[in-house]
Amino acid sequence: MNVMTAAEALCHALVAEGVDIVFGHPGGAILPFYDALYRVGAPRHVLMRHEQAAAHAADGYARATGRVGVCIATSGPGATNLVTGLATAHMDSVPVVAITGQVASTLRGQDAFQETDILGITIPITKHGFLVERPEDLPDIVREAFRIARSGRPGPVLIDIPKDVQNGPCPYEPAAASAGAAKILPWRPAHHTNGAGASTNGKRPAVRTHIDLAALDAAAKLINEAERPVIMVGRGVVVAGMAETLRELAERADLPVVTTLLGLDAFPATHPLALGMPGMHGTVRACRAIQRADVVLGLGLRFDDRVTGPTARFAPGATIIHADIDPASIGRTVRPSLRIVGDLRDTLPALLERIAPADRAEWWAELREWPREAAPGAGEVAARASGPLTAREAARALAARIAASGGIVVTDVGQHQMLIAQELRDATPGSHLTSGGLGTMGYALPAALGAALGRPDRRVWAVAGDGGFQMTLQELATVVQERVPIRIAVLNNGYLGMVRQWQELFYERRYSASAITGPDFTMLARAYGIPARRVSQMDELEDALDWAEGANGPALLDLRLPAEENVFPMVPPGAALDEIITASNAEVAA
Amino acid sequence: MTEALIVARLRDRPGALERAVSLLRRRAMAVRRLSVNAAGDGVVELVVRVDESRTPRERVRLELLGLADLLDIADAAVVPVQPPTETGEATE
Repeated sequence: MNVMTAAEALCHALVAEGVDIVFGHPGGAILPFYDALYRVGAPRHVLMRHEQAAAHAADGYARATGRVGVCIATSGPGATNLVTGLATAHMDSVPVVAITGQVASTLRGQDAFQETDILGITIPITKHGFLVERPEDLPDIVREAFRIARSGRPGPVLIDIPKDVQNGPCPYEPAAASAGAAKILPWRPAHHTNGAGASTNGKRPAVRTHIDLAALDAAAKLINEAERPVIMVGRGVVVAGMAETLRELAERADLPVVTTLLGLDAFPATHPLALGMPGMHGTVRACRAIQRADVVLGLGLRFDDRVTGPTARFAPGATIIHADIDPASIGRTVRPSLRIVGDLRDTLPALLERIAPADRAEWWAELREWPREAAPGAGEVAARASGPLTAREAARALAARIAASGGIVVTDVGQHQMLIAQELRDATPGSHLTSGGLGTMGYALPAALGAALGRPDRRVWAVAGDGGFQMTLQELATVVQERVPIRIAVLNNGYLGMVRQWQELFYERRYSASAITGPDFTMLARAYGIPARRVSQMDELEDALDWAEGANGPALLDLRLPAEENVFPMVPPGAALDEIITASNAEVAA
Repeated sequence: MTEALIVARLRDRPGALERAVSLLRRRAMAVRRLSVNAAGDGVVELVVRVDESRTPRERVRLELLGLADLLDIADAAVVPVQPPTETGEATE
């Protein structure tokens, strides 16, 4: 058995877990690891300009590849800067391992320079955390951290390592462990180890979960006998790699499918059985279908408040069936009549076997009375060939381009995020990344960077508003240094658009602190070495998209948009799903 | 009013107890009493009593089951509680 420093063992242990890239920023308490990284030469390190961006990049890498993303930071401010990124990953069930340096064990608890209790700080926003007290424990802790991050409902795990522990001796045999060195994999889910022992990042585990057959029988009976059933799909279906089984289930029994923001890529909006997104900016058809349903089958989602509205008024006539891998997520908001706990890879095929073919023409006749599209003309790109560019048309054209090229779109948070979600027609699993639960502005650029490095075979677009883009735009430097060929679209309207929309609709147009200035983003991008173009007219858009797609490296589009454009449909906060406002009835009310 | 008793045994590692208690707070559990006992062999025992009218014990059990350091969790026992005496003290 070789004896090396724990920091060296950490490098080897990461490689053994299949880690090819880590995203980080060095500092005093993590320097032994960075020195080991220099000497060991693996995994590849991407120097981010801010630790928050490192966490988002690891998150984007994980969502795009189905593998565990890794971020690195030093103690104190380096570690606390990770917090927003870890909370983002936690809310959206993304497997991330964060490694932080800590002050030496002899200094712990003395308020030493750059000391902070990052283990304590991150407890509510991580799935688990470790403080490494002995160097020889580190390899086992790394294995356990990766197992926890990808098992069950995936999530972030923190490993905090005091500086002296990193320098301490650690027995380790790198040759045996490094057999699982990372390769670029096609997209597939990579978690749910459940069993003991090491497993390579990306490897499907052999251990299966227990299935409650009685619950499945009862669920199938409810669905088979339902007159107005609806399937609601969340990110769990994507994570489990069950999009194809979902399609079979829906088609067998003529079941309408509603996809949440994080489940959009589980079922394409172009499918005849798709109703679109539910909730605050969902489609009328999806929202009304839920309110009229007699059975709602929830698959791999949390029934969060943006989707349900007030739970007491959610799906008032429906018997709710909730299937999820996390038993604690079932019943936390909406109280289901039937719980199916387990991995969807086990439960969904078993449910499919029990579902009888059906024709629900009467239900579909009712559903078709309500608009399926968020805005008229969905899918008709460039219907208007001249005049000022609008956010809706920009989002529509972007979504069409990205889907047509088999690309990945990473959105930020706000109006553009909802517009892209509404306009995305042909999403495939792993092609739509966004911060759904936490709603983190500043997510898009660094997450797109991570996604692009994880999936160099796919074109990756970062789409952000001018507000969110300014939160993490320093990562343009990382894009250039690492030669990451992402395309960036800034939907620039000079406002924190969604804040302004709420102020317009619910605060009598008192635009308090929502107008925002910014630099000339084209000049800024060029200053970093990224070619850029500005678009303000509709007839410039297609040419600009051609130019961006054809760029030999990163490119930025500054899309100048009208200041006051709203995103409809919209369910007002506190309203039930059937109290949805569309663009037309909003005009009437105004 | 009834109280439910939940006994969770955890690995005694840095942050294990804090994570369990943080979870009870974050999920707004109606905790009436909380005690911690060293159970030896690197194991620590967390004893939680909740107001079951506001927090069903199954909810507590499901949330604690997500803890990576959880070794086992005892069946919750419902403990009837007498109304306060004239001196204001609750009796069991």
